[in-house]
Amino acid sequence: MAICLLFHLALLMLSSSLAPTHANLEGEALYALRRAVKDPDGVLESWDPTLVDPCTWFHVTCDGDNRVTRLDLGNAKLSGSLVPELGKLERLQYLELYMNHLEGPIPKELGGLKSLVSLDLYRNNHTGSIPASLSKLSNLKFLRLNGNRLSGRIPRELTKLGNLKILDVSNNDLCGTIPTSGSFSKFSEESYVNNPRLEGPELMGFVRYDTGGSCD
Amino acid sequence: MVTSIVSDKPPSNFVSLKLSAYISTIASIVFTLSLVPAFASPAYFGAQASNGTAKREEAQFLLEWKSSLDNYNQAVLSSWRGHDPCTWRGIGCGSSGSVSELNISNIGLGGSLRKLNFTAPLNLVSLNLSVNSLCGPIPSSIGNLSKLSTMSIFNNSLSSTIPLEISKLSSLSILYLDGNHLHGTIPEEIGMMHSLSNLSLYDNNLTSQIPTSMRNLSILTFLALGQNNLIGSVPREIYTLSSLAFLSLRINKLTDSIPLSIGNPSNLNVLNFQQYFLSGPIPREIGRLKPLSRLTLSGNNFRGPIPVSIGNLTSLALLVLAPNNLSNSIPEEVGTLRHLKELRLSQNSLNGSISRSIGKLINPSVPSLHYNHLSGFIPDEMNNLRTLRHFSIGENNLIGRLPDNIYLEGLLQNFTAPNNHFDGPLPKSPKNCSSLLRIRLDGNQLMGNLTEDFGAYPNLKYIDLSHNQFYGELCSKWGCSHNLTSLRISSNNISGGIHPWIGNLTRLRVLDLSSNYITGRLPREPRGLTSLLELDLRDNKISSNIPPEIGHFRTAMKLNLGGNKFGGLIPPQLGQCRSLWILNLSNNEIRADTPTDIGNLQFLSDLDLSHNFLVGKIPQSIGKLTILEVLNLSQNSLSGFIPQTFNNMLGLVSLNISHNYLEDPIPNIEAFRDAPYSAVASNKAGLCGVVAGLKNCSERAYSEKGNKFMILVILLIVSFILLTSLFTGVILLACQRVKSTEQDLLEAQVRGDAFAIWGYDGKMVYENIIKATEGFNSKYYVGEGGYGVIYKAKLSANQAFAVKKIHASQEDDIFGSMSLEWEVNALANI
Repeated sequence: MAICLLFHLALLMLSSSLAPTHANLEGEALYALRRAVKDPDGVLESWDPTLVDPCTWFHVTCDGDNRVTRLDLGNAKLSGSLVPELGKLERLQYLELYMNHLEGPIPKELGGLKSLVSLDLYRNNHTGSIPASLSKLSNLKFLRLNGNRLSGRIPRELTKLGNLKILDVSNNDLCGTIPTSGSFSKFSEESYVNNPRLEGPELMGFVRYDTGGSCD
Repeated sequence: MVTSIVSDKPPSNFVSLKLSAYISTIASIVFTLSLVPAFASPAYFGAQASNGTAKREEAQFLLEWKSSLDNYNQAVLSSWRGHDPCTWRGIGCGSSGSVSELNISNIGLGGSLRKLNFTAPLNLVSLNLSVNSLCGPIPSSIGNLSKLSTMSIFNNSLSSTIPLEISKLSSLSILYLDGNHLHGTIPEEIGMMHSLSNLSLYDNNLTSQIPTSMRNLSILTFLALGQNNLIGSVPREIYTLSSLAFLSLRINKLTDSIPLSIGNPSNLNVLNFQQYFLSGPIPREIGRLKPLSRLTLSGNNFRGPIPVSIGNLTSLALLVLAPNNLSNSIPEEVGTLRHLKELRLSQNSLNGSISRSIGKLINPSVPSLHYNHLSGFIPDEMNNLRTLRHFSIGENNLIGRLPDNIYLEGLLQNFTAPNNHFDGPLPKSPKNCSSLLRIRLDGNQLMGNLTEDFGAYPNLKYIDLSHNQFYGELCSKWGCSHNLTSLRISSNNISGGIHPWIGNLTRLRVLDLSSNYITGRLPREPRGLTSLLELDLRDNKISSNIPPEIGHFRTAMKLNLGGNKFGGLIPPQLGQCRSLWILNLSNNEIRADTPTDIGNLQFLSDLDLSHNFLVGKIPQSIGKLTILEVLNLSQNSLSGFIPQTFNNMLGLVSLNISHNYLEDPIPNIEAFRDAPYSAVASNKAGLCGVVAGLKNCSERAYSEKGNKFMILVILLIVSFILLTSLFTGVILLACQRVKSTEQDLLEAQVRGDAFAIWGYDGKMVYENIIKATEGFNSKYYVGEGGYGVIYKAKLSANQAFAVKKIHASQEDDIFGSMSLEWEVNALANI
């Protein structure tokens, strides 16, 4: 008993120096992801939080200021859930987490990724709704959320994304009607197929969008 | 430039070193103050007369709790049966025979403490349930354990508030509840626990202020409140608790500054204010905390210089001031701290040169000075720092030579000095330096021969020597570094070839040898490199074909072979590298078709095949690259049309097809519409379409569906014009006929007006022809055509005509036939 407690005390004291330096906020945000996912192939093995920044970690790319710009973890057999901390990577341009087994909601905090160009979460098991906060991603060009189990309506706020070139929300469980205004005017039906409860493009100016499409 | 520096991680044997050091210093405190009273009071146990009834009651109380657990956890406590708890697992009994100790830590026990009803007459002195999966609340009946001296339930999942009743435990000297999900407040009543010496509530969700009553805990030695959400300020009196040796308040939401009174007589040994939102200068009074051995002020916003008074903390073994915004130079006095082992001053704005005194530190193992503005030479004194384990001085403005001898003791693990201005040769290293795990010297002006100046590093995991002036060939000794995951030597002067030993590096993830003078061929047996994520050989002089074995790089995400002399063809096996998102084969001498297999690279976002001799058409399969953002096919010999499958590549942001032999309409996609003329310039004249500056296409430039429609419209318009002309002609002729004489008309025919022949009164012409050929006499026979016999008819003195007598049966079919017309034309000259 005494030895056990002593050991605990010693560990507590050590923890003061073992902890990562906290200026490494981006490394911490990524490390929070590492902790939250299962990684059977060890693709995150190099993610050592005691390194001063995450720029030498594999699957992470940084810019000249050692700020994270890309996270390339597509097809990496990851399971578990995304963490809100990812929203702190304010220079992140590419968040590539497609074709994994990730589940749970898409954190609304991803709306904080103000440099994001590409958000690829396709072919995972994400549930919940598409966060309206994604409408803050004013640089977003590619939004691929297809092949998940996302439900709820497509947030109307997303039509504000003026730079959006590609939208794919097919193969989900979305409901309501398809927005047609703003940048959404150019997307074809292919962007939305296989959402059984999603109804056709809303009629602009005639009906309110929320009267069409079953979302119960 | 992608960089980072090792800083914090002490190796495991280092942990044990520190453990032993601290156990020796802290053990005395803990044992004397807390544990000893708990176990060395025979009178205490003796007072509890043991009798059968009491024992049964205790057994019943414990079994009741056991029965509230699920089957699995009951099985964990399988020895708990019968009436004598003293024989059960984890139960200790005092000399009187009554249960005094419940110690079932770290046995994988789950469940709730709710049914652990402490109202029974228990004489527990020590309760230890740590490192299990217990959940739910701490029962408020805990306040009945008036004899309890030690309570330890750390590292569980308890999720209640701290019960007020805990303050009744007037004998409690150790209380460890860290690593749970406790929320709410630290009760003000905690100040009544006069026996408390060790209190750890670290890593919970407590949200209150630190109660001022804690100033009454006059024998408090150890106080860990870190990693909560505590708010407000720290009661000043806590700093002056005369017995307090350990104080950690790290990572909270306290808004406070270090009080100037901190230096009042104090026994503080460990002070941790990591990430505390402290700002302003570090008070010089900190130098009065003489017994301090570990000082952590990291992750705050301290400004100004490091106080010189830090030199008074002569017991200091650990000094962590990184990161903050500290400026000025590192005070000489730091070098006088004879016991200092870890000095972490990184990520500040420290300037000036590294003081000579730091080289005089006796046993430093971790000097960490990266990310500052330090300049000047590394003092010669640092040549003697042979006990270094982690040496981190990157991202400064340091010049001159790297310190010598730092490898000699064989202890150095991480040597990181990137992005300075170091020049000259490397520190001498022993032939077989097995301690080194990580070397980062990138971004300097270091010089040396790779083969001669580097030793073998059997345990090396990471090496980056990029952007220096190393020369010579790749050091074959590295072929034995089987743990190597990254080998980066970009932008040096390396010559020679890539030898097959590179295939021994089976864990290699990144091989970056770009911008050197590497010659020869790519090894054909890269079998070992199947884990590669990134292969960058651009800008060298490699001249082989791209071997088909490139298809083994199935996990590779970036492949850059640009700027070499690769010839031959692009092996179709490249299509097996399905994880690629960057593929660059530009500026080579590839002379072949673009393989259709390129369409298999479905995650490709950046494809550059420019400046080669690619021939043939752009394969249709390129349209399968739906994620492609950047496409450069310029400066090749591609011909034919651009496949309509480009319409699938909606993500294209930038493309360049200039300087080829492409023709026909450009697909009408956004990327082309937005492209400048230079992206399509110098192709065949037939190239047309939507790019500004390029000529407009015929209407079939548009999609195939549109093409058909346009062709139909054109045909209709042309037919309409022809019909109208024909109709007008007939009307005009009819009018003429009324006015003209027979002779005039005949002359008109004879003048060779074809229209006059076709449109004229057939009967009259026929009579003339009969007359001229004497009823198609065989003496006027000329020959036989496909549709009939041809005769020569002399209709006037100077003009003879060929007349064809058409077979009657074919008459209906052949009128209007083009072939007849051609036959007529052919005969016109007879």
